[in-house]
Amino acid sequence: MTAGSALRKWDRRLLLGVIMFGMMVGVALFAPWIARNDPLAIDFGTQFLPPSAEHWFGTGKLGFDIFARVVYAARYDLVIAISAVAFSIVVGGPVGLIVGYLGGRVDSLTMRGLDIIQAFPAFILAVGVLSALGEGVFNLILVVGFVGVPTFVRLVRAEVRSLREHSYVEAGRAVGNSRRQIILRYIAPGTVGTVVTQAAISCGWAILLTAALGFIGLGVPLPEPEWGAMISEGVEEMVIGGRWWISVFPGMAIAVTIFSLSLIGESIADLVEPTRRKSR
Amino acid sequence: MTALLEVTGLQVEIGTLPILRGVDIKVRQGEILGVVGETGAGKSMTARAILDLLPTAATVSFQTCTFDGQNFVPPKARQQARGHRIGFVPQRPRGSLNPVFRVGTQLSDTLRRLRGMGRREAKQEALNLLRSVRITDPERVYRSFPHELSGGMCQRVCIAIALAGEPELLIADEPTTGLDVTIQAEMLKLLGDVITEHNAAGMLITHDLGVVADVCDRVAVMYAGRVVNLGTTAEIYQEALHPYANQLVSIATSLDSGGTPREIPGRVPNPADDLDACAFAPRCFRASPECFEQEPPPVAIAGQLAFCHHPLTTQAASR
Repeated sequence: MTAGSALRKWDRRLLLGVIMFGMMVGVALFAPWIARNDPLAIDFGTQFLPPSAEHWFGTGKLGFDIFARVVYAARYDLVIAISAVAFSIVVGGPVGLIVGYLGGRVDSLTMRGLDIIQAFPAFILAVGVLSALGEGVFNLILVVGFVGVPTFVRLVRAEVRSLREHSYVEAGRAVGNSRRQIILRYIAPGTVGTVVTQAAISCGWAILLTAALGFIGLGVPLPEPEWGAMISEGVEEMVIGGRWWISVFPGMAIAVTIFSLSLIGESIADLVEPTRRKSR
Repeated sequence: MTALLEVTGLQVEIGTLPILRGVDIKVRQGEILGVVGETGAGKSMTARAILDLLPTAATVSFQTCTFDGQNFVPPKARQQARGHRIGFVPQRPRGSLNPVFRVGTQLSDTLRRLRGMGRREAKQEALNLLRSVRITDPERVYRSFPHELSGGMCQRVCIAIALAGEPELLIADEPTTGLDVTIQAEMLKLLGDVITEHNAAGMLITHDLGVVADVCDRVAVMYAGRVVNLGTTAEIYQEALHPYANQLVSIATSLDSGGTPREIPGRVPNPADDLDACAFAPRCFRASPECFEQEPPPVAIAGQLAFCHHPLTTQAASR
């Protein structure tokens, strides 16, 4: 009875998250059908129009239709954020598992290496690497993903170090599991919860980093739409001219995306850690 | 009866601290050996050393270690025996099952790995094993996550997992820790029965002497990293040679018959302490100067073995 209702509650959260995120993905996929206006059309006759039936989200400095740009920007932002975070996890997770379990010299060498990477502010590091690699969406993904790797290595490593002391890990060794089986079956599943939760947070962070890079001209090149860059464009207009719609709508898009991701993250964390289900 | 597991001169140091100072232990085919002693005597360390489960900071050395005639000194040999030849029943059963997988998955995975069974066959055998540890609704337990089961149920599952590889020896490390007092005796009885039914031998580590009396054939009493007294359960209970074992038993039996709780004066030595020749001498009512200076000699009387200068014999002349 209690388990059933807990499960339903958990289901609802996942459902809501999936619907919201699915909506964003749908927007990205079907952008041309959703937005009637061209996101790149410059029209000085329609500068700074407030939201109206013609321009749902209003227009910006160059007469861009904000609605169309928010819709098209979903393509860039979702693809960049998700791919970058996936890259961070695929590289950082296994490294964290291995060095966390082995400990010793391998562990300290890896951690010192990460210290060096993290000694640079993430933004400066991204700017540096991106200018070396050159612009482009693919390089952007690599760079945003690379900057996120240390977070996942540290997270997974810390989790592994506490998990490996658990008595069920010793019990697992005592019935003859190999080191590989211990890492994969006894330790790795325990880290999934935190990794997924962090992934949702990191996605939001990746969108912000992408936006920041866009702002200084290293991200998605203008005039292609990108949420973060759109916020940056509108900040001045909002403060000085009271034209709130230029920043607020892309901001809402980011908020909805991140919120849906964290709903999904939380529910998956519960799914892979059965003991958590009961406790809520 | 031949020896199944025979360990001599087992020493374990963690850093520079001596934890085990030459443990000799022998488990014979088909018998259940009880290993008793206060916390810190080195009981669990002994079990972990046999299975090579000690942390890397520990240095382990054996004089000899044989299992069914095979040399078990190389760590590799001991690792390979895990599950296959030596089953391990851990302390704190609830924490000893993988929380992420259903009980059935853990049990049948172990069967598939240790006995090379197919999926379906493993499930059948898993249910059989659950039945053999007296679980009345194996299907439900098979589908449960560990956190959905009681401590006693988890311990039954742990025993089933330990039996999965058809081991010749089952080592149970304080298997009742963390269980309700009401089911502790039942669990130990079960463990004893199951060991016999599976034609295995057992090594039961506990600090509960009452338990030992019911389940074990022989008893090894440990003190400060050594076995100080070894004998059949009856011998240890009726006339333990070593003063420590003797006091331990008399306290346990007087408690059982409703006596006031007593304790042996003094405290268990710390591994960091400088031990006297006989580690128990400072707490012993029979201690004499030689106990502090000379290693206690082995005394063997009627199958019982003790390391003591002044064993409690009725006919002291028989030394």
